[in-house]
Amino acid sequence: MMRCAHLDEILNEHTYVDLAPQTRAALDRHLADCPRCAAAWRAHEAVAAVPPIQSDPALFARIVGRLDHASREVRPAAPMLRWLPHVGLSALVAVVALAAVVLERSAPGEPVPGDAADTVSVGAADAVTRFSEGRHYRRLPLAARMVTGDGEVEVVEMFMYACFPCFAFEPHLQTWSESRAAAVRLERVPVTWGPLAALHARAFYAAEALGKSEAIHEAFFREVHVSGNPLDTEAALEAFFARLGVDRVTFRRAFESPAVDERVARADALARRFGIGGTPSLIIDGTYVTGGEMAESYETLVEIVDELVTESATCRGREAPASCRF
Amino acid sequence: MQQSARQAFEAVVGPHFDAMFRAAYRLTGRRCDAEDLVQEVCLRAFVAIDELERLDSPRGWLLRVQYRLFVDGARRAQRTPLRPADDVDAFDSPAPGPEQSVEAMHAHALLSRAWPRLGREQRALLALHAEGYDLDELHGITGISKGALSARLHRARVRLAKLLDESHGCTGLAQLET
Repeated sequence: MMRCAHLDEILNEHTYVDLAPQTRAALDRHLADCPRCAAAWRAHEAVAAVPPIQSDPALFARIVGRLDHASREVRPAAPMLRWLPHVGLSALVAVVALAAVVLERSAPGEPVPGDAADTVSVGAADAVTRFSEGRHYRRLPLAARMVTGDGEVEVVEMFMYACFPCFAFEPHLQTWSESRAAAVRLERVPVTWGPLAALHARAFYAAEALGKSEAIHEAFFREVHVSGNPLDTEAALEAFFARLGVDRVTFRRAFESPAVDERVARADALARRFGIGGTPSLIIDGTYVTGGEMAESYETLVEIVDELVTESATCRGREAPASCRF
Repeated sequence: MQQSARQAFEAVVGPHFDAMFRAAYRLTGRRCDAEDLVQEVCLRAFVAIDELERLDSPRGWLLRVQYRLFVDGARRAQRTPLRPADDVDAFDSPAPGPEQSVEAMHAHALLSRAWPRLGREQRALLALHAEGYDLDELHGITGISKGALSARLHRARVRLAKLLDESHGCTGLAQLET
């Protein structure tokens, strides 16, 4: 007599097409007696009956063509540089991923031919300001510096691991912050919009508590956006941390610690305080906010931040020039 | 450099594109969504082409990313109200013709209504299985153990059968014949 598990095995391994007559007869008897298996069989046949579809022969060529075209164009449209929860995601991912392609395939900092903006020098000694309030950045009504003092200029990046623009922007931000290491204190703060972002934020601070931020940050982005593993459960995070040398007990201790609770709550409060509506967003010296929707490209976004850092450093001094905008 | 990347992409992804698209269509139930989905997978593949070139089985990687993107899409749909949610009938109707019996069209209509009401993971498992992948291959794509896969496939089929019965209540032969 055939059992339910045997019928499942026949279905799952696709062996129903070659059944011996006596097995087929046993299967039919089982189906007649077992409503649950009969339902499963009926559902299987319904799905299998959907005729296979052929892709449009030109679809692959179109996709390849877009990759090629985007690579030549280099720069995506400004709104596509930012994660906006109300924008259709596939379009967003599509265009921003192409920007990431450029990141992967171009030398860091490589100038874009024919782009006048790249020919303008923006540095500490350059008093000319290229970017304007309202268009390229906005000013917070009240300064909200996280660390007070006249030392390094504080730059806060509000980001989300599930945000593809954040992934694509990361190498730009990293390269820039290393070049300005003496003048800039970069702090990354994950936003906590929704359960997935909150889970990732907790993982971010657990990594920080374990002294593993550097090892995990880029790997986390790549796991989500390149490997396609959303890391959307605690078990998945445990496995991911384990691959990077953090055992389960150590991970859980950090992940569930009150200190991490506090850091996640602080991250949530900061996003509200800065009035952040999309990622990546950058807050310079607790005073200026800029982000993907205010820049034409990731390179321009970095230049905006750089200029505001320069100005913040200059205008913090006791003998701030009259040209200071605040 | 772009040229070589494009060529590598075509060489690595091209042979698997039809399989990706067929699976994407069964997953999403709509040609336009299948095109969106394979495009997302292609873009990710292009970003990771150096790594993909080194794999023995790029198809496994491609289908794994596609599966993840699709299952993860539930969260996206909640965040992207401009995008149609999972509430539209699935699968293009087969072209009417002498080979299409009224019963077959009726069955297709029932599935079309029931499919979007099934959970995304259940749809993904049933769709990939219907594409001919066995439990070993499904394990490679989804990361779910074979024991759990067997149980989940069974639950998905029973659930679909229930939804088909419910759909039957609102789609009659008479309606199709008009």
